[in-house]
Amino acid sequence: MKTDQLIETLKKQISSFEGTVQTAEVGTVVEVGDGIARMTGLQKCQAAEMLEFPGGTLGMALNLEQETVGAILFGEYKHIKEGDTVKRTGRILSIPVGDAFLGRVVNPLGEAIDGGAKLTSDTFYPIEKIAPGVMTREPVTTPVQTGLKAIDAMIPIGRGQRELIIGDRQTGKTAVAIDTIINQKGKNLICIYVAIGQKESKIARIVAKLKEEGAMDHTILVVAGASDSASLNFIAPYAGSTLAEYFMDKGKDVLVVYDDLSKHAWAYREISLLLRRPPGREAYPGDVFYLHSRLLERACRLNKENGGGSITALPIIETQAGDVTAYIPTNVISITDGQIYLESDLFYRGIRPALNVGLSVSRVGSAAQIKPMKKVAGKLRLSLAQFRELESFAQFASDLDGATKQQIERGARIVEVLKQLQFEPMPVADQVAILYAVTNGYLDTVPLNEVKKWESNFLAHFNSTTSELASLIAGGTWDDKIENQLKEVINSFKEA
Amino acid sequence: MKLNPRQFARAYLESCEGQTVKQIEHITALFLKKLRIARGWKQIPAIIAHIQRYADEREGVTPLTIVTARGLGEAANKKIADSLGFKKARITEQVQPELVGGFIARTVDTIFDGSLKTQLQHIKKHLES
Repeated sequence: MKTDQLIETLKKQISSFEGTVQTAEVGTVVEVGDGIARMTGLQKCQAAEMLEFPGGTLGMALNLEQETVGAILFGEYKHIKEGDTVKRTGRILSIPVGDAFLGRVVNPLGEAIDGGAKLTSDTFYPIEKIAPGVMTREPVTTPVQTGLKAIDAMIPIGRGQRELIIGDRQTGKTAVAIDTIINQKGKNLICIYVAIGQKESKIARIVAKLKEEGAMDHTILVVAGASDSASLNFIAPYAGSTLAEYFMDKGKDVLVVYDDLSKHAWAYREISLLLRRPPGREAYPGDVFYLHSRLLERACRLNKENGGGSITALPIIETQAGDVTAYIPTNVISITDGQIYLESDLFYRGIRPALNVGLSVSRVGSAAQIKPMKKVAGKLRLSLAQFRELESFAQFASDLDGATKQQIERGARIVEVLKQLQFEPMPVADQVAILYAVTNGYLDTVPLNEVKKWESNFLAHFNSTTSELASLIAGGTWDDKIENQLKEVINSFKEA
Repeated sequence: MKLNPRQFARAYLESCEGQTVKQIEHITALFLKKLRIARGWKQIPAIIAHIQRYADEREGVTPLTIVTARGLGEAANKKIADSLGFKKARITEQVQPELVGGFIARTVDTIFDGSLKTQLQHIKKHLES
């Protein structure tokens, strides 16, 4: 703002100054500590209402009791002491939303934390919102291309779906999510990555990688780090969902990654215990299921009358020693429309993404898969299942018939093709081409250790010779003519 | 059954209603005995506050704290209380020079902020945004 403009604004403010008296309902702090406060007064306080503490610190009322109100505090609370006055704001906890948030890193209160310009917006959305009802929704029909062959082929995700990514630590859960975000460049899908209780170093690495890959333009990062309070960790996924709803209301498609909901449940458990709510199984409060169900229900595909936007949710859950039957994993499995199960054993065997095809499932995504991929993937899943069965059987038998041997050989090649390096998402046409080649036996004669090299050479050949064919496949067209053209390309490559 | 300060205060006041001074003394002694058994000594300040509040409510008196930058005096404070609609108020005056001008009046659960400090803060916030 220029000096003249500043003076003018100031003059206007002073001339329009009126000695108004503002009225607010207040309470008195009786207890404060560990990120929570208890107050008396505040008779008409609403649940989830924003409260203003001294020094501008914000809080949210969670427990409305006969004598006191229990609230969580956001940010610094060391200066708050017993006897301090707390003001009601009359507003349910809301955060600013807007297009300006794209490409930015913000905290769960919508404040920029990337060192960039201050984010201001006139539009505020409440962080808790009832999920859209049945009549406003539509079935999932459009795919989210993750760029990962194994997932796009066998566990497809549709726009509006909720697909859980589950696995032990260090199995590549975040990598799957980040690859998916990177692959959305130019695909009309806004991405929101919500980091809950993550190490700041990990978040910094993710931001740097997204910037390097040019994926920040369509991405927002909502960050509640490991050093942030449990209250910020608790509201982070809701804040991410709120930002997503802003774009969905404008008719856009949004992808939200919640990394991870195990830490979110821990944060909620901490808050609940501090607020003296009765603990249940594993000391989680009784409403821990509702904590996640109300969050994930907000992911949906709206029908045309309601704008036609969508929110796709990719929640992440970290398991302990591969136990998917623990409390929080089973809760989230039952809420979502399928899960991508990543396994440590596969990861250490070099199969990355370490996808367990048997335990992974997508309940609605196949309806959103493009036709060429559907044609190719049907065969793939069958071949892989046969391979897994025969592989274990073959460990005990040395003498195998030709057909069995061939199936094992093909299965090994499929596994090899499905391996993919991190940050190298693949276009869907390339995926269809290579998967068609491997499932139809074109790689049977290629030595196993040369499959990757064959793949990269073939894809270079495929893209250089037939860009029209690639765009037809990517557009979802598949008929005998296209299949024959693809066969010709593969044969010409093999001959060359 | 565990009682909270509000319930203790209400029970005490209702027991004392319509009683003679002697009877009230006896009720108070019994009440303190009950408090000792219930280990409710720590609740005494809160109980007294509630009793005071009940008594104020019954008599229609509003406890009002008026904070100003300079002491205004009884007459001006009374005027403020009247203008805020508290005809029968028990006024406590506080002086806080950092308010610059105007006043802040507070009852048990409502605050009336007409201070210059708050107005200046609003202008600052507006200019910053």
